[in-house]
Amino acid sequence: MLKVLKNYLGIILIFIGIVAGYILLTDVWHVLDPFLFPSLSKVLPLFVEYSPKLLEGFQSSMILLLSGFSLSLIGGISIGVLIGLRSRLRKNLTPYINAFSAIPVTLLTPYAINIFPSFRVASIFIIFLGCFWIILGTTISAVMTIDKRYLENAAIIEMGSVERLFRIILPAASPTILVGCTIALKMAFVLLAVAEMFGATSGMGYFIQYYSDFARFDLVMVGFIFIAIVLVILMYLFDCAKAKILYWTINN
Amino acid sequence: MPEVLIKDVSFAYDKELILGGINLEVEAGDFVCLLGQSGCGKSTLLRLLAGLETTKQGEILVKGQPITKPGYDRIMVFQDYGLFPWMSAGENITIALKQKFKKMSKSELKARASEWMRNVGLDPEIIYDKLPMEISGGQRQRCATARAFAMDSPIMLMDEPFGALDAVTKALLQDTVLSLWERGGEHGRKTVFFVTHEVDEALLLATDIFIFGQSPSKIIFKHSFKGQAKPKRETMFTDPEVMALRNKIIKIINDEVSAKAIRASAHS
Repeated sequence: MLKVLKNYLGIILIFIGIVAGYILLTDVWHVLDPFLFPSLSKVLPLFVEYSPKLLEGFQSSMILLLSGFSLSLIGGISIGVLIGLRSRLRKNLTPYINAFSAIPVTLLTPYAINIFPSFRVASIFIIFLGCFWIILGTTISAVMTIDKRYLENAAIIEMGSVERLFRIILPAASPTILVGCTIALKMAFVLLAVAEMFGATSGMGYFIQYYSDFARFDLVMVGFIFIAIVLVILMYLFDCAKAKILYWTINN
Repeated sequence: MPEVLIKDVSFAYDKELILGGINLEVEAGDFVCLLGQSGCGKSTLLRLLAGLETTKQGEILVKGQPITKPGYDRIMVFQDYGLFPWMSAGENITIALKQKFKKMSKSELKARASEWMRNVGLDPEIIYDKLPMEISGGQRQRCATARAFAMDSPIMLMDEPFGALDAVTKALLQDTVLSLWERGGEHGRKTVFFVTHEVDEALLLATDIFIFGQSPSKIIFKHSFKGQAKPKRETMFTDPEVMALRNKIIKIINDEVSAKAIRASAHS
């Protein structure tokens, strides 16, 4: 217990600092507008009261988020590897990738709603597309920049193409690919709020949006804190997975 | 028929001519040291032999056949990057073995890898499951050497394999390679091409030494120990004949370096 506490001491101290700062700025010095920044003594009890709604929102958001993110993971990595390995394909596609990825995903909402059969699928598409460009881009550069000597070493022992992909190319590219995945996962959270504006009747982003419309900033704060907790836990789990994949890197 | 025949091979990177007409004949079981200063093209010749580069001028024949692509009949030991860092030391060996010995079971592959680890002085009980980053540079190169010998390829290409090691580890590894080469494999001694820029290393290991000149590279000196005793570590610095040869080789390399410097200043 003491060891765990020592390990996380820095994190705990910063957390206490942030909470103390908020209390000072709201309850003690009254610097912040209490309407937009309600006191924690008001906000915290609301957590209990609204927990069923928050959990329902969590469930609904996770379906959107994980579907969109998983699809982008599969699509981004497989297409990225293909493009990364073939210089001619890369040369021909790069201008189009640059052009399409430059369009802000949020602006595509009307098209997504029109094209897809349901609001839910349209929402998943928005999250997918936002993450896809990030993962695609990093995977292409990750595969392109693999040290050629690994590939030469594989060629010398006449390694087959499937084994080369799974045993050499993907592991060698994984440090960079995973950087892209981390950014994409955070991006997924940002896009979740956009997607839930039209594609949901519950959700973490929807919760904030809904109560913001009614100027219930105490509940907006509840939503912010909840979404932050979920993000921290999800990123922690993601980091654990990352550490498992990158067990062989020096900095791990 | 010679095991390897290099006929008038030239090679250029972009427009810069690296190799300018190399001719070599190597018999099966020869230990060839390609000696020369950095940048003289000796590693390029090794890459051509490995099939990692292709030449448009001249040809390289192995047992009478031209080289078209890399293959495990010409196994290579790199200076670095010889092991995949995400695989354990043992797995690095078995992944190579299973490409060649396709019918071997997992346990047979492991047994062969372990046996060769022992042959190069590594304890598989300790090293087999370790990642390359968890073992020393010397152990990594022992592992790469074990992999190369375990493949039992008729030709071994070694690109300054001990260049980054300390003097003691290097000496131990040189002795290991020499004794494994002398012992031979199923089909007799392997033909080794060993790139180095160290004269003493070449004298100790080689049956044949080829010195590379520079810009563009060509062979400027050959020496063969065939039909005579090879220098030994214990006596090579006291044997007047070996020392005379050593001095001669050093002078040839130094003269070539000076000549290159003069050529370069004349161009500028």
